Amino acid sequence: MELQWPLILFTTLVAWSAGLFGTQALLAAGGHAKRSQLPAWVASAALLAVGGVAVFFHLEHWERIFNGFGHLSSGITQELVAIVVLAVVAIAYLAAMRRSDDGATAPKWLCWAAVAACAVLVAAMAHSYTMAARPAWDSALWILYVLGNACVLGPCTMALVMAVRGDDLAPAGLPALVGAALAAVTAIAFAAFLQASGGSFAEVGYYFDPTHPTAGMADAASAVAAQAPLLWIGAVAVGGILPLAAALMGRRSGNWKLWGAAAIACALAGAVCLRVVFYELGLSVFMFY
Amino acid sequence: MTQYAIVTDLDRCVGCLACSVACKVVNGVPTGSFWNKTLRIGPNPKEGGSGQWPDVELYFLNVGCQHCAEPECVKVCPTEASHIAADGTVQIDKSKCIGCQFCAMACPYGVRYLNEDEGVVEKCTLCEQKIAQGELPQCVSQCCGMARWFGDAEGDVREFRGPRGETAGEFLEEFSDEQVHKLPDVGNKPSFAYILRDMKWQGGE
Amino acid sequence: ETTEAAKTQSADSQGVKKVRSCCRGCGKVECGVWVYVQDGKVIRTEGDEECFLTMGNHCSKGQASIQAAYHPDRIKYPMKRTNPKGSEDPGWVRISWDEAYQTIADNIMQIRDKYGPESLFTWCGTGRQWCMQSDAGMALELFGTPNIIAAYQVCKGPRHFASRLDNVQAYSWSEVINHSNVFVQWATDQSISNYDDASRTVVDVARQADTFISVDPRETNLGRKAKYWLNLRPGTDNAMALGWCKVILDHDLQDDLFIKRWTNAPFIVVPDMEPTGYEEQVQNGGGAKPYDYRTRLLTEADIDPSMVDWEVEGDGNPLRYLVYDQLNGRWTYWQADPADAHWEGETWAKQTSGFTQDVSRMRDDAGKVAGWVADLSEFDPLIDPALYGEFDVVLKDGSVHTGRPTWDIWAEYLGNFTLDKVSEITGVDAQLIEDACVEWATRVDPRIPNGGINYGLGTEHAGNSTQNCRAIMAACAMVGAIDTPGGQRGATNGWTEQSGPCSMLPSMAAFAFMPDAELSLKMAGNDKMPLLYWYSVWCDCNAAMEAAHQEPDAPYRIHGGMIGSGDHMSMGNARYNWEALTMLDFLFEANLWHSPTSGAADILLPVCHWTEINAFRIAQGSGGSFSLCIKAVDPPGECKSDPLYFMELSKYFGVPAFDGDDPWLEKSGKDMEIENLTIQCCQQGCAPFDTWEELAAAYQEHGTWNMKKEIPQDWGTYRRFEVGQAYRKAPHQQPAQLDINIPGFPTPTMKHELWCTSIESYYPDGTDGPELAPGFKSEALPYYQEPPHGSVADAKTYEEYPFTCITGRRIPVYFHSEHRQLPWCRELWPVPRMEINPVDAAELGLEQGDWVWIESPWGKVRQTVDLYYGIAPGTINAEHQWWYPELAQADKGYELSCINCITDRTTQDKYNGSSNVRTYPVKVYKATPENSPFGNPVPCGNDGTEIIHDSSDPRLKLWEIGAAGVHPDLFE
Ligand SMILES: Nc1nc2c(c(=O)[nH]1)N[C@H]1C(S)=C(S)[C@@H](COP(=O)(O)OP(=O)(O)OC[C@H]3O[C@@H](n4cnc5c(=O)[nH]c(N)nc54)[C@H](O)[C@@H]3O)O[C@H]1N2
Ligand SMILES: Nc1nc2c(c(=O)[nH]1)N[C@H]1C(S)=C(S)[C@@H](COP(=O)(O)OP(=O)(O)OC[C@H]3O[C@@H](n4cnc5c(=O)[nH]c(N)nc54)[C@H](O)[C@@H]3O)O[C@H]1N2
Ligand code: SF4
Ligand code: SF4
Ligand code: SF4
Ligand code: SF4
Ligand code: SF4
Ligand SMILES: [Mo]
Repeated sequence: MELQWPLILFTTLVAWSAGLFGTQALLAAGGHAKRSQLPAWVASAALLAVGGVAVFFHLEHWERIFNGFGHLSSGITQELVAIVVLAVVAIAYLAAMRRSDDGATAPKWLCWAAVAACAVLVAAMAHSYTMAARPAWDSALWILYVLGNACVLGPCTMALVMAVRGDDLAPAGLPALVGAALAAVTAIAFAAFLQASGGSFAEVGYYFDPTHPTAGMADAASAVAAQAPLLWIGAVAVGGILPLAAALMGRRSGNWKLWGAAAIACALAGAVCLRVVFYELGLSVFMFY
Repeated sequence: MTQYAIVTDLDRCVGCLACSVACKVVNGVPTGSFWNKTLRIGPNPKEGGSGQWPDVELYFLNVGCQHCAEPECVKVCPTEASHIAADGTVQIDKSKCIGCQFCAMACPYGVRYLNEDEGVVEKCTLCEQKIAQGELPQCVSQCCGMARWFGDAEGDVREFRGPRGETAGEFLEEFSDEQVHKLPDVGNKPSFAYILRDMKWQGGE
Repeated sequence: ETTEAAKTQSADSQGVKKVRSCCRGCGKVECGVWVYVQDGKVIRTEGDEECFLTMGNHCSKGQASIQAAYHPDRIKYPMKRTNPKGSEDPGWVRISWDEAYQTIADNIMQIRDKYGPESLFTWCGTGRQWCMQSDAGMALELFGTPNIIAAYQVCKGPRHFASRLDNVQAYSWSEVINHSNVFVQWATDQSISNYDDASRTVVDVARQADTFISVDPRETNLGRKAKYWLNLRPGTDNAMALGWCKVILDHDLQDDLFIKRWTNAPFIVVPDMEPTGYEEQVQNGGGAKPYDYRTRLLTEADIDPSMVDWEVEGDGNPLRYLVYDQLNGRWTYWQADPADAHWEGETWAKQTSGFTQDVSRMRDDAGKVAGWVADLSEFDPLIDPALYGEFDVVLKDGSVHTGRPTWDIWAEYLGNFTLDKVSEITGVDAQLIEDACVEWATRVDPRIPNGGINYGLGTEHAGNSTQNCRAIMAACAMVGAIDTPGGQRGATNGWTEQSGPCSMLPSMAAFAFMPDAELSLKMAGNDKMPLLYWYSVWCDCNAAMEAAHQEPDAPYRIHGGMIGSGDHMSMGNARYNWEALTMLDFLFEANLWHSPTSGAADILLPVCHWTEINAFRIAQGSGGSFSLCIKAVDPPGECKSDPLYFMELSKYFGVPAFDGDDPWLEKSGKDMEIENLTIQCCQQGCAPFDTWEELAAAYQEHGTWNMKKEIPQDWGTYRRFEVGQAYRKAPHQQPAQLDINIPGFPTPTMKHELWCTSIESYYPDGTDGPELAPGFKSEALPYYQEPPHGSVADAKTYEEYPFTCITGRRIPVYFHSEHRQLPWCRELWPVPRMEINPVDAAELGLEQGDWVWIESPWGKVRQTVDLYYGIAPGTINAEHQWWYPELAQADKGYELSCINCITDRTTQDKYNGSSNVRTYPVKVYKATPENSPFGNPVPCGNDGTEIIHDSSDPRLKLWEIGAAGVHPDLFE
């Protein structure tokens, strides 16, 4: 399938946004990162907004979404619901912070609700791509992988913000490390799944589509082979292993300005690489039309 | 319930492409896009043969929307633009479609595409304007192999109607239920079917 | 103005009316269709489900052809060139019809005066029934030249030529529609070609047959369902057919009575006798056209009267062919005199015993018209002509010789075609050949053979067409499948002749201008292929092009001519032909488009689409139908139908179009086209209506007529040689004549000629034939020769060019060069594809979709790779007649991919000159930026513009109805 850049951006930015908001809420639940709460919130909202703008580029008639958007079995609807829920939570969170004495505290239940909403949004968003029609997409590992994106991007971004804002960096270390580890594991797991997906497409042997006389034959196995470098070097090594190493370094050195930024950059690059592979291998089960 | 569908006798399909043009003639499909395509499957080495030419077999497979009973495209559509009509066919209400193309991604056969001019997704309508009048879909009425038959998949395939008033049961050579195949089903329950008697059906069910 | 018939159709609530007509998206079959018209425009066409011939068939190109009618690039006005020939842009400017006609007449007549009529030619393409005027009509009546170039020379013509040699012109056609229990598809796939029978019919026949046999080097779209696939080496059909003949003989499956009574198999060949004969007339061409008939078949005129026990009058009758009656131990004879044909002692009478055909296998009510099958008559008095043996014969000079029945020699010759030998030649498993043949030849109904052989185009292109076809016909004759249900029964006879209105002008007076025998002998190529005069249908295209190319050894030069409905890419070598055409003083073309060929023309005439024309449409093959093409809409711009412009042009030549004192109907104010149709259908023809209007109105009601029902004494009768209805000289399709009353066949011996006396007359030395007796060679029997550019005969060239190239399997959406600019066609088949076995492809490093060079010693072109496991390793199959209407240059880029740019134009069938466009050596290699012009493996025009090679190319949209066009002629 052709690369859908608006969706590549959207899913990356939403994971980032939700990861960031979730992390700030998590730290807030422990009473940490006070100085960074507001900027993190703003950054997260901005990421979500940019993601939202990106996704509109994918829609041909966004003006119509008001005439009938809301078919509940649709992943997109579910995603929209999750976004709305998250938005409500985020606004409540902002209101609570603004109303709090230090301007950076939300009730614990709201913090945990925010973490949950973030996780739900990311999962819902990823889930809308798991389609039986596209074997390479049809796996819970993809959902975990996108959650993994959030887990690495959120804490590392939070750590960076905290470093900039001069918060105590100690509480940021563990989430970043754990998040990066989760991200690396899910990246490897999903990459392994993609690598193996070549076998799950319908095979018809030699075939010919008269309308594409100058195209080669669709061949999932060779498509997978062709994507292997991007997948393993780009998505796994750069997007999974390097951020983990950076998180380790960050935690050890405490230099989150450097290592946080490095982790984010690598994780983003990896996330985009994987999404490219995701679309390249996003062939329908019957890939011959 | 009704579930209108087409069954194609692959032992009669000769890959003549009359179905593809027929669709264009009545449905205003944009140049370069197709609501049905006839793929050539093979020639492939025959199972149990020498493994090479001339022990090969070949058939032609007309693929388009299969008007699934549990269509993935409908499930994922956020606007209900894609829907199941009363006659069991899967239709797109273009005025509701936002062009998100999730339906196109969710279709296991890749038969949907974005009409660039209108910004909406399209696919075979099973000639709804014709079948509503009791007529046959154009790709059925103009099929040069008399391979295509139209009817209600809830009922008996042998009752499906062909271009000259015959039924599939009267006109086609005998076939057994095992010789009736479907495109790979990932839970969407395609209602179109294909009769292939003595060759290997490629691509799984 | 549309005709009454079209008008009488009532419109529905949306103002859409339905006109019953007959499609001409191709020129190959008469598919009955409905034309839907709204606001004076055709909005769609659909198959007429009541047409029994075609079962409602309407193929992709037929349905797409409305895009031709309303195509933005269609030419709509007469035009003349303003730039010299050879320019990239001919500089077409619009002119009036009057100027066009005058320019044509002035130029043609000037050339004729200066260089003689043989310096002119006409050239027509295939099958489009109403544009054959350029062929028989224009050449003979206006130009007065015998030089008619016709695609027919490479298509069906060779089969008709061969069948005229053997029995009746066009008996090459078998009656597919009979739904015989054994169906043979030999070198053809009509499921895609709709070749004289529609895809629907053929698919159904194949599916219903108990046995379906495909004889083809490739697995074909329908042949893939065959019970037997005889996957022979290209060009070896003749050997396969001789193998079948041998199997028939070995299994004793021949029809002895037919062979003895209706073939010349029992006639006695005297190898060491000087051939004798008399002056015979060629079958068509008008006027007296004599030739020397000479044969070594023993006649009463050859012998010493003492040899026989009857009274020999005078010098003996050269029409009395001797046979040895082994029942009574004496000589007897067959008298081949059309005025009094009989076996000794018999008086010929129409056979009256027979039976009604079983039509239970047929599908269609209108098609289920049972014919009457004449029984084979018995000898009465009873004789038994000997088929085997050696007999002493005493000639007039007293010399004693040994004579042998033709059959005896045939049987001996067939000894060379044992299963093992045939298997070795053809590469097909011996057992498979035997099983297939035995199943075909073993009768299910003892009274009649199972069916004939439905053989097609592939037999004609390997440079050995005549004998290929004759060998296949021989197999049919051996089992008696001549004019039997499903057998070889030729062109439908019905109410009219075939070639549409205006193959000739309706006036009888116009015949006065026909070339005489002397001029006919000058037809191009006749010096090398003298049977061309005997056949009198086409001149040799290649020889004509040599004359136009001003070759020093050409007998004369050709200076001018016309092309209508044909093109220079169909035969010979396309590049050579193009060069020749651009060397002419004057050329005009009639077309709907700027075709590659029109790039060489001086004047272009815009003609009608099939929805804009009236015509009668009799089934070309043995389908037995009669339909009409009905003008449903008026043509755009100033387009005129081909027949109309021919009739109007005749005035400028001073040739009367109509008889009477108003030869151009100027005073009468009558519509020339309608008047012509009335004359052709109801006066010269025998349609039971007074006028075209009545006929057309009846057609709207009735639909396709079945000639078995309408003329049961003729088309409804099988084994017409038994009832005196098979003796029909060429041309093969004429209005029914119910009182021919001459037994047998229109050959010199009046028999099916296993021993071909016409070939024998022209090739008395038989140099290329087998040695049938010591020191005696003959080409009279069907004989096998390796195809000239096949891998055996031309082994040396194959060292460098290791693949055998075959071409031309039909592309569903195209009719030869036609429809490349129709979006609905081009999007489905954007580029030419070359089939190659994946094993070969892998060795050459080729993948699906790669552009490759196909190179022969004579040229190279590019097509794309299609990995096709249905073709033998070592063989490739390329597409023919590609050109690119999207390119803005006079030749429309035909050189880029047209496969006939790489043929050896000098290899031809020795008898009829058909080109060798299949079965020749090539090499194949990937097209790369390094080895391709413009550094682009994709073919490009002279200015570097890529051709359309993808269905998403935006230029395709410019060709939609109502769009701007890619190169429209914008005349304000
Ligand atoms: N290599 C190879 N070569 C082949 C063949 C093959 O199999 N392989 N097949 C051969 C065969 S079987 C044939 S029949 C020939 C066909 O060869 P042609 O008959 O020469 O080819 P076409 O492309 O059918 O027609 C030529 C032109 O007729 C024009 N035309 C269409 N309709 C009309 C009309 O109504 N009036 C007029 N005046 N013009 C019209 C078309 O636009 C086109 O330019 O090619 C032969 N060449
Ligand atoms: N769509 C479409 N239909 C057409 C035409 C068209 O251009 N397009 N052209 C029309 C015309 S004019 C004609 S003449 C007919 C021809 O139509 P057909 O008679 O069906 O001929 P082809 O399809 O050219 O070739 C038939 C088969 O011949 C095989 N063949 C090639 N070489 C040999 C050989 O040496 N021996 C044997 N036994 N087989 C061989 C090829 O593999 C091919 O499968 O089609 C007509 N119908
Ligand atoms: S074939 Fe595809 S588009 Fe058609 S109903 Fe099924 S899932 Fe939907
Ligand atoms: S593109 Fe249109 S039809 Fe398809 S899912 Fe989106 S809104 Fe529904
Ligand atoms: S059923 Fe109608 S809309 Fe669907 S492919 Fe056939 S012709 Fe086209
Ligand atoms: S029209 Fe019929 S026979 Fe021809 S390709 Fe389509 S389904 Fe097959
Ligand atoms: S086979 Fe020829 S006549 Fe019949 S529908 Fe096709 S183009 Fe028309
Ligand atoms: Mo032809």
